[in-house]
Amino acid sequence: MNRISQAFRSFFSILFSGVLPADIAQAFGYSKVIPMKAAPAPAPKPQSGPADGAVQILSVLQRDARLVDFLMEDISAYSDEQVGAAVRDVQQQSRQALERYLKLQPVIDGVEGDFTKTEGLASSSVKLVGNVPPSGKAPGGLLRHKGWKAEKVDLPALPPGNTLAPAEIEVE
Amino acid sequence: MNVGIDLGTTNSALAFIDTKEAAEADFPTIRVLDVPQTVAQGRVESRRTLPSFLYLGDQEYVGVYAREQGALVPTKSIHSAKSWLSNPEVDRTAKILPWDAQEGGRVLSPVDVSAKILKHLADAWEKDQGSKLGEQNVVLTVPASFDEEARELTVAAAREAGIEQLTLLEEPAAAFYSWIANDLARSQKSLFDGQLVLVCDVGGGTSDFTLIRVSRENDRIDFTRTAVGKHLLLGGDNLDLTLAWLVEAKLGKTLSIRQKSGLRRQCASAKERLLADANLKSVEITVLGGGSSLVGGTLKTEITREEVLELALEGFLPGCELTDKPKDEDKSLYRELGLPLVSDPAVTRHLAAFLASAGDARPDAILFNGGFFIPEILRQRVADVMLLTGLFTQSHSSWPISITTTPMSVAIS
Repeated sequence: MNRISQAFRSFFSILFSGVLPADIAQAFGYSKVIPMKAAPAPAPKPQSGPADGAVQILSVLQRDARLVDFLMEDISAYSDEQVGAAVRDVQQQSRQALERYLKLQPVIDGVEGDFTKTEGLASSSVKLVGNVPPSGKAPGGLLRHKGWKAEKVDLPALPPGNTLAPAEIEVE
Repeated sequence: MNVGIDLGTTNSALAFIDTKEAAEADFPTIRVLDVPQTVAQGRVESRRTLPSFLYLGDQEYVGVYAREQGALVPTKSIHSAKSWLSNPEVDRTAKILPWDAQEGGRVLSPVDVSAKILKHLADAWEKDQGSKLGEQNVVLTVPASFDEEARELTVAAAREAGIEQLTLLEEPAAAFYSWIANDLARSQKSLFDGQLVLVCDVGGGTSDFTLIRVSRENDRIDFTRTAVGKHLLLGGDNLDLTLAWLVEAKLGKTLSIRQKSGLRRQCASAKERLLADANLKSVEITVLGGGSSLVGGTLKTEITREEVLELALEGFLPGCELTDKPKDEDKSLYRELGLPLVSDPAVTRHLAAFLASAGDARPDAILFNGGFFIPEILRQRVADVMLLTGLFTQSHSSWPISITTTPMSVAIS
């Protein structure tokens, strides 16, 4: 960042909002930003162990949408058109599968970019960035991402074991 | 309750009328039962129709999943039980299905399978209505071409499924009642004494032609069946299958059985969209890589409206002469497969042959029935071909051309 721009931003920032921009304050040692720990994702209720739940959801996404095939494939050599043709199907079916089994909802059902209050929201479900006061709490701010939460996890029972998808053999 | 069941070759459905309501109205509301069925592994959903497929997997499945899974493992799949029921060339009570399973794997008779499909409907009824289907008046439709034995076997299957009060109704008659019920004002205007109506019923896998003579005295309308064609094993699925073959050739690659089954589904839906919408020029077809190389193996092509029109109109509904006969009728390629499938896909030629066999009959009107005729353009085509060949007696504008689509709602009163 060049010095003139830093000077201007500091000047106007102090003039209009009374504080230094967070990045400049940090760069010049006026404040210390403590990196916020990402809220730990609420663990899905394991049926017998966390690994089983992971295998189960991947297995469903592979079975219904072939998501594992897609994620594990090296697609660097293929054209955007080729990737695009395949992704449309995979995305649509993954989404349908998620809607069927997880019931995903936004954490805050607001408009991204609008001022949003944090009141009444669990601290684990909201992440504050920007000009966060030392208390770590703020009455509100601009909603940058609505977040996601799983209202309901209702995975179908699958055979135990670590096979995500069985190998398929076509008998001639 | 009065219940109507369409036990179809490819799809079945159940509709009903509340008798209390029926007492107060001439044509009470007909409700279609939503049938819960396994639609994919581990997923049960309700649908208005029940595909008449049985899959012998870890358990017995009837419906959508049975159809999809059956396409992948034909030796465990039973379809077209109704066609087997009306096939005089085999012992219809013997355990001959699944036919593809060969000796040893054939564990059910056509009657058993029909009973299982009806039982599925009976269970769905009980779950939805809280009463036994055996306590209701049930009307079951059968093709007019069913012989005495096929009718008796249908009754036996219904009994096995717990249906006790049963009446058989011929499908063309059901289509006729349904048309009158759905379009009362129009039917009263357009039906006249002595009128000859052709019921043209092309479903997923079968075609039936029937001639009905109307007799009318003021508001009293009666009708008599005057001619019945052969029960032809030819329908909309043949069109989908042919389209899938053409597309596979365009892709230029041999597909796996799973890819083929997916391609067939895509072709069926592309066909429906292209025939329904004159402004739609083409539909993209994407076949994902079959192995773990999903993106790399993805094949892409398109089906154009011209291609579908050519296949449907020239292949299945070509213009023909009155004297035309279906081609290569005696040397069907499929004979050895057990079901007497026809080798000429031209529905119109079969129709011309039927009218010729009915003493060169000239119908005054056509009543279309079956899923094949959902696109209006196909109904129009049959009418155009008939007009061109002089198979019609009247001018174009006055035909009461109508349609009742699958699932057939059976009108009972």
